[in-house]
Amino acid sequence: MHFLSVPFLCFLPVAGLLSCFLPFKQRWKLLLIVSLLFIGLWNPGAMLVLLLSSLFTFYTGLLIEQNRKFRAGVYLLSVTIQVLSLFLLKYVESGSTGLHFLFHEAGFRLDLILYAAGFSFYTLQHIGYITEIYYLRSEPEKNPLDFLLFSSFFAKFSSGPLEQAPQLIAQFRKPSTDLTLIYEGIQRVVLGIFKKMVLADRLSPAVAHVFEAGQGQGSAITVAGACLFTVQLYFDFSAYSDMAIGSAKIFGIRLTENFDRPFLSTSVSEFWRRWHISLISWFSNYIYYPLVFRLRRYKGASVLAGILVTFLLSGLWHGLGFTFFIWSLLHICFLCFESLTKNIRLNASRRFPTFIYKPFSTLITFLLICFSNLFFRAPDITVAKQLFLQLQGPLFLSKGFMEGFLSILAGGGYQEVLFNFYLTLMFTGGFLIFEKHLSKPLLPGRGLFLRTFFLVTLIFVCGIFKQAEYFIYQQF
Amino acid sequence: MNRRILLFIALLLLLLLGLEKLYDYFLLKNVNLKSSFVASQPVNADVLFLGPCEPLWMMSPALFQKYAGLKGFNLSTVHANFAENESMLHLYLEHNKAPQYLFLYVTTESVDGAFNVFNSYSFSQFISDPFIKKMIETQDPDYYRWVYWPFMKHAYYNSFITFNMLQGVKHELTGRKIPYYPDGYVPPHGITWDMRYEHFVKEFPKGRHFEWNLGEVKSLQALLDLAKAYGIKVVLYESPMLNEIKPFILNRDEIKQKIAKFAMQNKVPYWVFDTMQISNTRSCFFSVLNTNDKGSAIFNKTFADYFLREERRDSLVH
Amino acid sequence: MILDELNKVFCRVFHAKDLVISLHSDASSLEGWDSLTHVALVSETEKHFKITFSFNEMMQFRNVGDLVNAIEKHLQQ
Repeated sequence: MHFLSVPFLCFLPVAGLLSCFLPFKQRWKLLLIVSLLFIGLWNPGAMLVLLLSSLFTFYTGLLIEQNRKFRAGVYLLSVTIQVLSLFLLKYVESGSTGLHFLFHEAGFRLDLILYAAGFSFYTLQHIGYITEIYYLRSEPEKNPLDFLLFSSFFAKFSSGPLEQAPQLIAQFRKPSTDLTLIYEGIQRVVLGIFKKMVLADRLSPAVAHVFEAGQGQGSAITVAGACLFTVQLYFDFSAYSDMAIGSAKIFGIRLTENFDRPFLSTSVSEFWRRWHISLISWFSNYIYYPLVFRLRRYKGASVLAGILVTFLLSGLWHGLGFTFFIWSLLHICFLCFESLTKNIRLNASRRFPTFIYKPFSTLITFLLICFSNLFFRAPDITVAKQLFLQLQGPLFLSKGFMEGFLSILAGGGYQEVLFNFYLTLMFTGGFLIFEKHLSKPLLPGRGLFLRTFFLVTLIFVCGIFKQAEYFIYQQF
Repeated sequence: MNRRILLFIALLLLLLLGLEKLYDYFLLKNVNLKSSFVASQPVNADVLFLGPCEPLWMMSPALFQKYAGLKGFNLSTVHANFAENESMLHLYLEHNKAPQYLFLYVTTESVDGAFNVFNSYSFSQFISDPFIKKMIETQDPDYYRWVYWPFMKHAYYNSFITFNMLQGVKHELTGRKIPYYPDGYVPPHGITWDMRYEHFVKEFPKGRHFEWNLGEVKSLQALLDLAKAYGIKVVLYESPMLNEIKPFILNRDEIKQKIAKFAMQNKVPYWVFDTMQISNTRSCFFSVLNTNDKGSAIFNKTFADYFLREERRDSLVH
Repeated sequence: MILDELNKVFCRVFHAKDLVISLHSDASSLEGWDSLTHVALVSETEKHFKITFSFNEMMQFRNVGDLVNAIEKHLQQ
């Protein structure tokens, strides 16, 4: 079941209502049934894979704790199996016909198994779980149903946020009794729907024009396309996170925040502390810091090595395409540069007034991210190369430039398409400016009522219903 | 808490119902929306041109009147399949005198099913019409599922409909009664070569087989039946296409023959203008099937002359 | 005092002679404390006090107070 579907939007309030009638300590049972139904109705194959993966991880955790002698071996074997299955998923997704053929001959529908929804997200959480046990930072769960609920919790199942098992399971056992969380949850879900339908999906046609239209576009269009895609990606993914966090709050569960207004970042490293926070935390905790710690005697070189390995793996996690590789290489370069020039930049920030330095840094950071996203979004390396070459063209501002520029982005120049494009730009700009106020949770009252009413009205009047466009991050 | 949520839902429902009525009213006031215009203003043309973009951007009723002396209206709409053509004809006939002739554009693309669509958003204000409702049910079942929910018939395609509604508000406030293109013809001014040929050849370097789609043929039959029920003489025709594209339409002759056979079975003529000189040069076209101003001017004259010749012949025979 | 000795380490790592830290000092109150600085701090602290931190310990340092407690624990062993 997708978040933006009628079944889910009916399912959520019904489940929320049912949960109100249950004693707090019994709610986890409802959550488990609801989560398994959510996944099972969507993709029965995915549920089977989830059950197997969860049981495997659960018993591995117990084995690591109980078996002191072989704990390292068990841990390494478990991680290897999980990582290999992740790799296999990405390999299959990238269209390897050889692998399909091999499994098909063996009577296996590889695609049904490995296209299992949510697989790459909960696998990372499972790896994190057994790593915490191995490093004696937490104890394994003793109740398999608790762990299954952690893995399958519908709110975070398909695309995160990535959570730590002990903290989340503790909440399942004792959800919050604060009723204002329900209001916060509903507001958050509405905000998520608004961001997805009114912002992200309205930007999609302009982005598609740039990335799929073929040759002959100027540099200005390419830059605009990259910027619009970056903003679209943010709205799309943060919308999903809003719906996940909001849905969980309705049941008294707090999930990790995944975004913190990333376009305010004044450096790429700050950007990665504000974007997809739970994934970056995972990579930091289990890849970056362990590596940097072990190589700490090499000081600066250890940090550079940490950045290199972390972002190469992050690129691989996103996909096996060459474009993802270039995307991760770019971020490695940006972060290494920032690491090596830290003191220079710190001095510069002290020398120049804040009202000059900060906006300048923010703009440069945004443009660097947009540039890297050209490769993230490009469907293949040929298109990526073509877009890169287009960037080098003159930023022509000839007569009729704006009409030509906008009509390409707006999809050909028809009046209603232009109108929609301008409206989308207005919504996008307005939202980004007032995001802090629009995202702030309000207590029940006139302010909450009016804001929710306004957002819901805009969803109906301007939201894109027709596109059955899944959230971009569900492909990962 | 429950009372607040129920109050919110009640107010929202009221708003949506109100918006639905508002949209219904103003969409009908938008004279640039062809479906609304023909359903609200008397046109009463002697001939109608019907089809998708090709006749929309090619067939000038003003030129036809100049050469053939009959008042025309171009009822074509962008990207429209036969079901949409039929819906437009139905709306026209509900509010206007039946024309003498209906010139319907039919080419290999028209019967394929992969090129033209039923643009449901043009008819959201007519859902209460049983004919339109039935058409939407068969052509766009995903959309049809929503039409009974408050405001959803407009919300579903709001990226088109909201603009049209606002334009309707403007026309109501300014008292506009005549569309921007008064006779329905949209001249292709300023459109340069649209690269459709290059894209098609890139996608199908060895050419493409076009399908004789039974769904489209069924819609075409229904359209002819509707026209005949009103005593309208139907003429199927194919306007000139650029000769460069013909080798890439692998089964063009086969489809042409099928259309000709279909026309014969329905006792309607099928005029194919595929030997005109203009087809040899891109200078008269902006796309493989669309003539530019220069090509359209030539073709409109040829078409009108051909019509007069055929009409004279028929009247001699009868 | 451990805090005084640690202050010398911080001055060296942050290249700031006049830096004064407290037990509550952390990444948000000290400008320039990022992952590169953190690694340098851990490494220099280990060298200065002749101790070796475990990875788990390093991951638990949230502020200077945590670092001081860890150093104390190692020095007592």
